[in-house]
Amino acid sequence: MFYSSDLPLKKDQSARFLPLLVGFMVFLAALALAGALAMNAVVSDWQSAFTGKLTVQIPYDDTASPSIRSERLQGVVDLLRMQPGIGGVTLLGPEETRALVEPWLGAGAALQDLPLPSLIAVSLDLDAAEPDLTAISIKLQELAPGTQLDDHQRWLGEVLTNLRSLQLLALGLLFIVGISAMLAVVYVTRTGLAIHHEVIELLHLIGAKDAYVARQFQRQAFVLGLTGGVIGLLVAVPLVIFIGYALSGADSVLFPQVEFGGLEWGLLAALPPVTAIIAMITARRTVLRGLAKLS
Amino acid sequence: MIHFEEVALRYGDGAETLRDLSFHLEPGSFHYVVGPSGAGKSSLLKMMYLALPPSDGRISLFGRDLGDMSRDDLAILRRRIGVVFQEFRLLNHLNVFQNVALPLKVTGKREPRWQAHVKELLEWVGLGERIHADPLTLSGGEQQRVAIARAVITRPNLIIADEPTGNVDDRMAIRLMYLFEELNKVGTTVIIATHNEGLVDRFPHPLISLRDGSLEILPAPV
Repeated sequence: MFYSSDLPLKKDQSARFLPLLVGFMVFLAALALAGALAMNAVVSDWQSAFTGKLTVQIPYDDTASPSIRSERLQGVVDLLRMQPGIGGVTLLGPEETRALVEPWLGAGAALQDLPLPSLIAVSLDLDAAEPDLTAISIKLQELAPGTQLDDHQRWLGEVLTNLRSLQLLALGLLFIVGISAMLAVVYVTRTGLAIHHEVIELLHLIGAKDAYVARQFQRQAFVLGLTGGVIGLLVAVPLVIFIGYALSGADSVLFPQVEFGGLEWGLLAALPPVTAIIAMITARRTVLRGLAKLS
Repeated sequence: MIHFEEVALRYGDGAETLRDLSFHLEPGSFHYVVGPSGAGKSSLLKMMYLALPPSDGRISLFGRDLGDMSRDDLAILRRRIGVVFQEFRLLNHLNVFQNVALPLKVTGKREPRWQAHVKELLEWVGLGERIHADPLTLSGGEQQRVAIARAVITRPNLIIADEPTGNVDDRMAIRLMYLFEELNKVGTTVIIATHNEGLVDRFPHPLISLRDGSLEILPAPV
């Protein structure tokens, strides 16, 4: 039999635009969050792909005969296998090496004649103590001058730093969007307090506590925040799916296949209720602070 | 019940509307507040129903000093006071039932416990057929009865009414005065501001007379 609110907040002009505004904010927040989560997946992917992996590169020595080159190569392989902490040593054949440079140089007869270096893929024994890479590198230089031992950390570090920066940027955007939504709720709530000050005064005079008045506003803010949040998410999700689909089709080296699992979709789905709860708490605090000033 | 000690009231930086008010009203008493227009009757009532703090002096209500009370404590104290406002102050977006039930609702009591009680009171004030009506569709007299029903629905210890019979016909005015009398008989303290001398003569009680911002307590007219 009772009206849901003692205050006619539903009729407020200032509150009508709030769902749209919150919807837009949640749309931006969903894109920013999806971006941050995708970056996280990429970083994890890159890190796991190169953790415990080394590449040894032996330059092509055209002054040495094929038998000497073969001997040196085998010497390097044997040396690596003897080192503590090394789990596996795989010598890449000429075909595999050519396949690595083919995307940049193209397939053709010229590639067959190129003096490509020999590559050895080394995997570390992650259960054993970390090998002394500097000492190994010196030994390799003695055995085959010009040999490079690459643990990928230098370039991987730069890539990961850039990805982390992008991730921070996305989270920063998420934060700014959240603050903007809170300011919108504060504005709408303060306007509501001003518009309905006579009704609020009457509620006080018949015995309502500030918390009772605040509940009227917080309930309204929750409903508007949830409505806006759902609208924003419904618009954002198809876009996130489309961007993910487009990137997977691009076969990008920088962005390996990123697929959102339950956690990622769960975090995105949590945006509307989280927004609604933040709106509710913001409205409550705004009302209580506004009413306390009346003392 | 109500204790005023050298109370003064001024609005903003203006001159004192009321000054040097000192009096004590016993629990279960019945007083009229009388005086010419502009004498400060409504201001006095507002201080009594805790809508205005005094500029100076001390007020205590139900044995508690208002000066050191928190906002929540004041709210709880207000639940013991039923107020009939001169301008009714009904909420136009709520219907008659909802308006009358509002003081019960703000205390957090659930509707099933008081629904019958609200209907019964509305029947008593002659608005049983109009419980779903919007206040704007009611006549002035009907609005006033809704305001009175809202003031008494919680069976308050203190009823403060500002011209409660100003918009009703004589028959309804007498009926409402009987309601106040009945409430007073069961121990409710009643304070009514009125210009209606006929009513004061018919239902005689002591007078709080206000003139030029000063107050005098007079015995009931004989």
